Amino acid sequence: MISIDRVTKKYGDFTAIENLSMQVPEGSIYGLVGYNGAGKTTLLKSVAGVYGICSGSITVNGKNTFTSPEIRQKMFYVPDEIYFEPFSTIEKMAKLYAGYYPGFSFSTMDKLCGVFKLDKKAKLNSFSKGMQRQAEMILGMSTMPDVLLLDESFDGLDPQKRNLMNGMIVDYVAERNCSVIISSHNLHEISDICDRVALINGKNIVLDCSVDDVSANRCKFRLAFAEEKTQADFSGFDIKKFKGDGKIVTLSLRGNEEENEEKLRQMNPLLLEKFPLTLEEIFLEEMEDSDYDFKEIFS
Amino acid sequence: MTSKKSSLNPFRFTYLRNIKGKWPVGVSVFIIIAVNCWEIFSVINQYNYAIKKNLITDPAINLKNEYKFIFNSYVNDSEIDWLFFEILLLVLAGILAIILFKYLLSKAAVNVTFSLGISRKKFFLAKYLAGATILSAGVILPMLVACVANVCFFGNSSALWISAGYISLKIISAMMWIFTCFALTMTLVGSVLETFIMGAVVTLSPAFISRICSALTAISANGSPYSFNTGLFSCFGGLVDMKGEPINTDITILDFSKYLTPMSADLNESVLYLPKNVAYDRPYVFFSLVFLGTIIALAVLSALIVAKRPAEKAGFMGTSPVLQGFCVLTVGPWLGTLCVEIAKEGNLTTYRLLFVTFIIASLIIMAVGYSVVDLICIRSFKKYRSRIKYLLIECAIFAVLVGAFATVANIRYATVPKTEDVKSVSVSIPDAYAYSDMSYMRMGFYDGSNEIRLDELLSSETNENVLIEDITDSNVIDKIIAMNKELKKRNNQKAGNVYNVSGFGNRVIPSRIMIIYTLRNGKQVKRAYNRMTDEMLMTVSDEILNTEQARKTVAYRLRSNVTRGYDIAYVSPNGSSFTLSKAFSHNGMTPIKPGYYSEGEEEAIVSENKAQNELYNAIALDILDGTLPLNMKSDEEIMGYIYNTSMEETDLDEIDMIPLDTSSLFPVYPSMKNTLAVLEKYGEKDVFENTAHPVRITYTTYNSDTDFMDSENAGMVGSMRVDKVGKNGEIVLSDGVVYQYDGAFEGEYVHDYKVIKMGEKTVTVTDPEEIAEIEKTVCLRSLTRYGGYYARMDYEDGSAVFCYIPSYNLK
Repeated sequence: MISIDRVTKKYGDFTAIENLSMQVPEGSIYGLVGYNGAGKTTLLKSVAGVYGICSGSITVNGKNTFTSPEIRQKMFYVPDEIYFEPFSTIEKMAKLYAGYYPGFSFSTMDKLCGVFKLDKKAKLNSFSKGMQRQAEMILGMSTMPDVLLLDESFDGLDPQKRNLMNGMIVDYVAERNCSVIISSHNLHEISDICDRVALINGKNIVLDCSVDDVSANRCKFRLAFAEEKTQADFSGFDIKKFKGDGKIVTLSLRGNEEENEEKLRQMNPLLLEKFPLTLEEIFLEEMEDSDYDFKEIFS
Repeated sequence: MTSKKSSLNPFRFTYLRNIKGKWPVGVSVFIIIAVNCWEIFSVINQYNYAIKKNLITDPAINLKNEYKFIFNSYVNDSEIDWLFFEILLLVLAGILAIILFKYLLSKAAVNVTFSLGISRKKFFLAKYLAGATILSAGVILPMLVACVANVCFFGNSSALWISAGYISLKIISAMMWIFTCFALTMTLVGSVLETFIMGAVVTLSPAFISRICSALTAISANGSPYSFNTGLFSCFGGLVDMKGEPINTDITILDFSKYLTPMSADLNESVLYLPKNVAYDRPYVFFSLVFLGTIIALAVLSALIVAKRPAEKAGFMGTSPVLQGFCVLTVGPWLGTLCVEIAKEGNLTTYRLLFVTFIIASLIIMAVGYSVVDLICIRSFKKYRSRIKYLLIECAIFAVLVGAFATVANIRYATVPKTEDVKSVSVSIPDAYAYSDMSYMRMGFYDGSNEIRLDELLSSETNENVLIEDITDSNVIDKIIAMNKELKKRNNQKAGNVYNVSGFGNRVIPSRIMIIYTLRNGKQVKRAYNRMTDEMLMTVSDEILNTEQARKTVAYRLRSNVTRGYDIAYVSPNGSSFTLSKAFSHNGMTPIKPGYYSEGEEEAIVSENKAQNELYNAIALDILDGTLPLNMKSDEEIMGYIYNTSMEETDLDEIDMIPLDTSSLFPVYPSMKNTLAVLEKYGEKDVFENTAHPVRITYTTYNSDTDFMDSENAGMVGSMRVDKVGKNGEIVLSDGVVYQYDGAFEGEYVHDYKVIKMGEKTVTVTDPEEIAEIEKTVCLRSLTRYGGYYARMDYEDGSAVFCYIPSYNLK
């Protein structure tokens, strides 16, 4: 289990993450979502032992990932910026990783190369960005890690390969009881394969729950009334977002969907429509600071 | 199939993988060293050549000696002939460091390497050891092959292996220093540009620090034995002495000449002249081991830094303010010493003023340097302003260090030992023109264009300009301590000395003296002073010049030019390199040998050369006997002089030779039986009969080009080289005297020139008694460079001889 406990990481005067805590159980795929610069990569690098943290602790099965090379032998980090040694091939990189990962399986590598149709003897610098990502993923999976850290690892993949990759990760986790953290901007991916999601907003985690719970506790309603309504008229609700246009109101509410619907009906709306929120909508609502009115900027 | 075996030991895996991947660097080193080792192999070729030509009577002994000789030259030679290869080796070491540790500077590489299942420290050390192995193997393997080959040929010898080990140790140390400095730098910085710049500064920092320390001691502490170190690469041994030589020469690392210099002579010929029973030199490895220990310490430090290194540094500049500060704090004051060096050129600047110059120059350079580096790195004036406090801290550190250093140095060098504590004393002249001229020029040794000084003469044999060595006589020690105390009083020394030349004007004499006391408790106390005068020097002149050591050294040098071991190998076989000796009386000049030989007269030349050699040998023996005192203070009446005049440039341009070409002057006294016997043998004894005395002596000082000798239409027959041509047609000849001669060019030889004018402060003596007194003191050269008088002795028959009168003798 990955345990992140009140972690703070600073770059000079700038605080990237502050007092952040979360836990990733074994056999779980954890989605890390947040806008650019929210601290996702910092968190992943800190978990991988690349960055030292200023305070708090990051452990995997009780061992500090920064100071314990043994635990890193069972953990593979796929960074957003792929690195291969100059003029190397998948085969050569495999030999490198085999020196540091006791569980490295060349046969797994061969099989995965076959699945993804990659030539293990070809120079990696001749690969496209997407192919390089696939190669890195293949190498990472071949280390047979107990912990897999994927930073924007689906970038540059075509839908077919993305689908293949999803399947590979899900099957691997099911088979090996591996803990996975995936950071991504692609909320569809998260919703597709993650069983839990954490939303980083700047320095902290603002949302940490299972993917199912996310939708269950959020709902959007569109209502039409006979008379004009303001936000004050909905003071009994936990409003995440309110948009009023005279007699027509759009609401995003937290809480139990049925209970909220019942309460709204008691206000005698002429029309009530209910929409389940997608993960993306939830993400955007949480990041409402970035909800700029560009028309205003360019006018 | 899973990988189990290799991952059990990631350290070993990293080490072996890096050796495997970086082997081309090792091969390059191997090739370079192998090329240098070829010199050792070439002995075999020499052997074959010598056998074919019947050059050697005992091939086995000669060959062994030759081999040892070459090996010794690797250990001890100070020539630099293989600079290109030396630099190449160092560059390779630097490149290897960059290749191995560049992962620290790449964001992408750091992500991978820092997340691997090995600690950063171990990963770094494994790579470091791989680099060390590559460099060491590249050195040791060719050495080993060379040694084995030679063992097969000449038999085994422990000294051979010790020498080979020593040579290897030095080369490896040199390369490892660069390698380690760059590795250390890369653990601290975030970019390649910084690695190059700061790596170079860190590598050279011992040179910078050594120079700063020695310069600072020299200008801040009266009595300090240290001086400016002008060589950038020669000062890796730590502080330098007053000659600018490293004190611990064995620790030098960039001076590859110590171990890579091949013999410059033609081995084919030198085989003939090898001395018998050459022994292997015993190398002194202590400092090399200390140096290697320092390298290991730096490597461990680097590993510890890597363990704590923030990964986010990679790819960014200006991430190491500590190293940036170190570089500025090192280079700034080093450039400050260069400013002092320039300021010192005036010679009349006081040392206090130089000290202030050093402080101000260093601070300005540090401020400018810091600002430039900072602005380049952070590229933000706003940030720069917020970091200006670091500059102020740095300046404060500099001020504190300099203040502490100067205070400690002053306290340390202020004391003079008491007589009862001193067991023995030595006096040396690191660069004292005055004293060396006084002693050596009195001998009349000078080659026309480049004066050869006694310090050079002695240093060529002993590597130290020791004039008095280990004198235990308490009276002499007293005298020297008194002189030392007098020197100490002049605590605001000038870089050069203003010396009043007997009322004829002030001159700058950049003279120095070093006194080394060996105390009864075994410790050594060294004191050096910049301000010397003739008067002070003369208080110890007899002691210096009458020591057996001085006599032996001068005599040895005289003899060695004609008889000494392999040196003779450099004398051209036709012997023409030794020029003519002439004996002359005051009535004129009588050559004992003909003046010039054409190429067709080689046989005659050889025989004449033999006669000359005999004469030098005889003079040397008389010096040893003390019948020809080095200070020329004999109670005997001078019979005449023997001197050399040069007709040709000599071939004595090889190493370790002092050419005895022009105008070497030796007075002849009746007790010099060895010299007189040779003259008699060659039918020249009567040249000193009927010695005439001058009827007039005219003397003046040389203050400027406008002071000339008297012109009475007196001419001088002979050929003199023109050293300098003045504005008005006056020329300065190779004997230093100024004459009028139209149409002469520098370097040209002129004949039959006229002396036209004496200076305003000329003194003319005609009283026979006074002339006799002065005659006893004259010689052909000044006792001190600036302290003597040019004198002309006119004889009744109209001839004239030009000479010097030492100022201290002319009351």
